[in-house]
Amino acid sequence: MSNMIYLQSSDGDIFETDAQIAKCSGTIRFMLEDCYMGEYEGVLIPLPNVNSAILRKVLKWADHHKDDPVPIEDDGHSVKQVSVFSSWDAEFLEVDQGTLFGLVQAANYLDIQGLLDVTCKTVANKISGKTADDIRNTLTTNQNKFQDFI
Amino acid sequence: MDILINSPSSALPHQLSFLDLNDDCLFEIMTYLSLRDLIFTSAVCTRFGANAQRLFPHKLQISNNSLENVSTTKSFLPQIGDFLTEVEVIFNYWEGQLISMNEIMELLKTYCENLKIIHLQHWRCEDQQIQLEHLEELIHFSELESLTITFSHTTHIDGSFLMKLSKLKELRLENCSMDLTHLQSCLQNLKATLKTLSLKSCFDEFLEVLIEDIDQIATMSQLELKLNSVPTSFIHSNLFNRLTSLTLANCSTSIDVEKLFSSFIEHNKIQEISFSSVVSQKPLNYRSTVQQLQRLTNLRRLDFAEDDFVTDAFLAEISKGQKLTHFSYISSYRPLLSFGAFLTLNGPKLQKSSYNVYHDIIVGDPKCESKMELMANYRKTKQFQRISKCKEAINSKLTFVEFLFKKL
Repeated sequence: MSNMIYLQSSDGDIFETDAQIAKCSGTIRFMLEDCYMGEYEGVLIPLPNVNSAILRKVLKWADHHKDDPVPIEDDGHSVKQVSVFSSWDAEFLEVDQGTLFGLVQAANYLDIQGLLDVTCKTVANKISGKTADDIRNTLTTNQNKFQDFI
Repeated sequence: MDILINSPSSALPHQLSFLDLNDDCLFEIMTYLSLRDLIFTSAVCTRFGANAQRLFPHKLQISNNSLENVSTTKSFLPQIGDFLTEVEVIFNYWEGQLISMNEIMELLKTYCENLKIIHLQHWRCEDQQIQLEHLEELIHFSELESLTITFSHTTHIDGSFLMKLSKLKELRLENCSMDLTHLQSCLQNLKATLKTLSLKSCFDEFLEVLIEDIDQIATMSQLELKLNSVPTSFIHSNLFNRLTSLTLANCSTSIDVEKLFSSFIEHNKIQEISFSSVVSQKPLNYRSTVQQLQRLTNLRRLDFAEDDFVTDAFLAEISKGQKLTHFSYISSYRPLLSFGAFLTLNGPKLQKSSYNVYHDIIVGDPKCESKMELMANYRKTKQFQRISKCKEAINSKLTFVEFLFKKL
């Protein structure tokens, strides 16, 4: 039985997806189960914080990982799962930095722990071994922005 | 949901940057970084710094014989020193000196003002003379609450600095001999704060005057003693009305265990008992002591090693406490005698229990194949079969059985 729902990106594009796949996102799962009380066939969920390009990638990732085991919750607090960095994930994350940061942000907003783990690990690998100046130069596009922070 | 610094859509025209990530994401990324990378990242900007600092360690181990450790310590302390509350120094005097103890102390003094817990381990050759000026420097740590000083061999120290440490809650000394008056005035100064005292092999004889000083400390709850003899005044002191943890080791002159346990029973404060090689003057009276052991309802942890007074009945009674969660028993003399009792332990909440069977086989290198061979041979013995059978019988209670080959 398929249970299709619709996700609307910040650009206004509408994506049709299986609710089971979309439910890897804690944010969407909460909406479907608590706001729509489980009666969600055909509903439209606006995601004003995720643009089309990123949402397309996220759905691709979610579709590939739809059969992953559910993280085990232990005594209320969830155990950080040691997610296996598969070659599929590595290839999936061979993207420009803007997209990578977009995915981190989307994973955080949509509450997708598995995606957050692999994207953060990828960013951490990029930082590793670099000096503060290297980090400023390589991981940011606009040097001037730092003037506000330093 | 967190407020995003920039939403992806608004950042779309130009490429999204590291800085657009919110603190949640930054923190998540930083959990994958090594300390070295964290320090560099913290220098990028103040917001990164604040997130990285949440992951800075509170505890550091410094060892003088690893070049990597010494150079890391030197370069990282200025950045992370403020966050450290605990430091453990492992100092080998026979190794090539990459850094001296005085230098380490100087670094700690300069960068780690907030240290609450300091462990100092000194490893030296038996006849080696070592410099001990660094101990004097301990008085500069105004927040110090827990101090542990150990030596590999008995070493005489000038204990006068101990009198100046006024906030100590825990003091542990091993193989430190010192002028008894220094320790006495230290204990008198700490009358209202000291909770834990551990004295291992510090004095040849445990002097009655020291017992009096310990008895004066109102806050004392944990006492650990490794010594050759216990004066009778200890058994009769008032300590048992507040001690929650007592560790006794190597009391080769026998003590009045019967009186000790009746004091425990009378006050019912004790939570942890750890006795090793404690010799009792006489077997415990079954009716007046052993049968009363079940009244120790606060017991959480029991460790017995090579104590001559522990019998089957003793184990059965003492394990009746409802709160008992940890139990270990080691005996090389008559392991099987008490094994049956061990298996019928009454502690319903027992989470971890261990039972070590020492087998009298001399082994060389523990990693060598002969150990495997010995183990295989041992598995064929009747003793092992008996243990395995018992284990099957009551598998639910016994979490593991460990076999140790003891070097004779």
